[in-house]
Amino acid sequence: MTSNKGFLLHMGPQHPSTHGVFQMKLRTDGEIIEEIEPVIGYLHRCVEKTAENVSYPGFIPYTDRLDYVAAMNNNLPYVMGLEKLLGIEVPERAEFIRVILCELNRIGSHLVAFGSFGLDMGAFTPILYAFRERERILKLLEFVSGARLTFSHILIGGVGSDVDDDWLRGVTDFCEYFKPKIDDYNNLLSYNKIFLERTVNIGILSREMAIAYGTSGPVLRGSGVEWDLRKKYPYSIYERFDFDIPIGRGEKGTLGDCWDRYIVRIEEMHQSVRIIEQAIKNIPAGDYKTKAPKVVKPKAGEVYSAAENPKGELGFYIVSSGTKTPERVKVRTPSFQNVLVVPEISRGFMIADLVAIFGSIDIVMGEIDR
Amino acid sequence: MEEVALIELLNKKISETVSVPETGDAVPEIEVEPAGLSELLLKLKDDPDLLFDYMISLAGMDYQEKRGIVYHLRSTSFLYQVVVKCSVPSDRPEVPSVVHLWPCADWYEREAFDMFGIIFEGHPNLTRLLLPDDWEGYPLLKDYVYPDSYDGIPHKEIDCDVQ
Repeated sequence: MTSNKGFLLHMGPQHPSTHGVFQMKLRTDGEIIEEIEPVIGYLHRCVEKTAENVSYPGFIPYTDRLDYVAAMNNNLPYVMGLEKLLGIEVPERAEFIRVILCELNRIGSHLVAFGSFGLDMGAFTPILYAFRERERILKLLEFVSGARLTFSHILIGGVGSDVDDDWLRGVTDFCEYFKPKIDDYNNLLSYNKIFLERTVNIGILSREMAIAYGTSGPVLRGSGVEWDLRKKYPYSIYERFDFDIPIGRGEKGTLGDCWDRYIVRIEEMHQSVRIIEQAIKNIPAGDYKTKAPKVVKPKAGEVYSAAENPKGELGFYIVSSGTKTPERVKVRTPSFQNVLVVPEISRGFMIADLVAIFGSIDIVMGEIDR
Repeated sequence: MEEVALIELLNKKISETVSVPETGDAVPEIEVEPAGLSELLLKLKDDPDLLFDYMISLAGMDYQEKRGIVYHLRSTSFLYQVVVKCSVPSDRPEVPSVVHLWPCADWYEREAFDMFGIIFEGHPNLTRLLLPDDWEGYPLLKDYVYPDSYDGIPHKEIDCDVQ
């Protein structure tokens, strides 16, 4: 803290709206925030040190526990990086299954963001709606992987198990069920007068600042930057699908406010459904995995592998020295960078607005502290 | 090939050698001495033909006798990506901070200090980020010895099964 004037208030680490054990030291003038110092590390589990002590595939379950709301998406960039190091080609069917699973999990993650943001803003109903739909997604994911949250299902060379037509029909049914629900969410929360009052023109993140602070995902797109790794650096088979990148337009107020970040997530759910429908239509027959080596021992080298997660760009910088364990794994997580803008964009707003700003960033402490 | 064009462009603009690793990505790599780091990064960020305005990540490294800092940079306008590597001697691990170029480097540098003991000169608040302030040693160093206890909490060694 640079100044010692005003009132010092500790928000967190045990606070319902910090979405985990996150602490903010606030320097306030009455209700107005003058300075924020975030304090993190309460959930630090030395993931990067652990990586240097386990085998390459042994690290996959640890990636689940970064952003535990979207574990399927976390597996993907790490596994893709290993496949690049090992020179493994993934069968087409496996790529399709991966896309379907990741997009389902993306919807699940955005539903949690939508529901808890509503809860932060004093609306209790959205989280009940969101969890009702998310439950169906978790059931689908549990059916293929056996787990509800930490899947470790995307493995080197493919996925853990094949999917059958019944499951694919279940996913189609879910899409049909889910599409009208998004309109319900808009009617329920997005254009609600009270919700608009709380989120419009609050916590404005400019385009330049969003890039300079290294934000990604809906936070970056909410500021009007058309940036999505699935389009800009297509990985897996995303270049085959037709979908749009929703961006904030300042529709209700200023570009880059809390509402813009929120509405990007709602529109992304539409796009994910579009991707899933195309994937189900075109999924080819074939193997769900290729033969991966029993002992994973990549040649000396390094790779940076990233994917567009629900919360932004998750990247793994994997350095191999030719042994069975990684020399170094650096995890670049989206929330770590996204939360860094909070002190900048909250200055001059009220403490109650900080809850809105924080909810609109949508963080998971598991990937900030690692 | 985009990479070939970028390497040619980089060779024209900067004096450091640009290489492309054989394994993994085809992303150009630039090795730089600590003395030339600030100048190089400023050029990468501000040159109108490069505009590396987005810092993807900053990773500390332990090369035993040396410590390293690896910058992953991206140009959002031209979709270029580049890796900048800088090594410093382990007994004096000091490099200039880049917070004034990319504000997002703030926490990355604090994390690298926290885990590797790398000193970033000019950083506004270089304190431990993830570990408690009174923690001793830098855990991500290869020769780090686990403490027996912290704050009265004993530490028990558990065998990790490496197959």
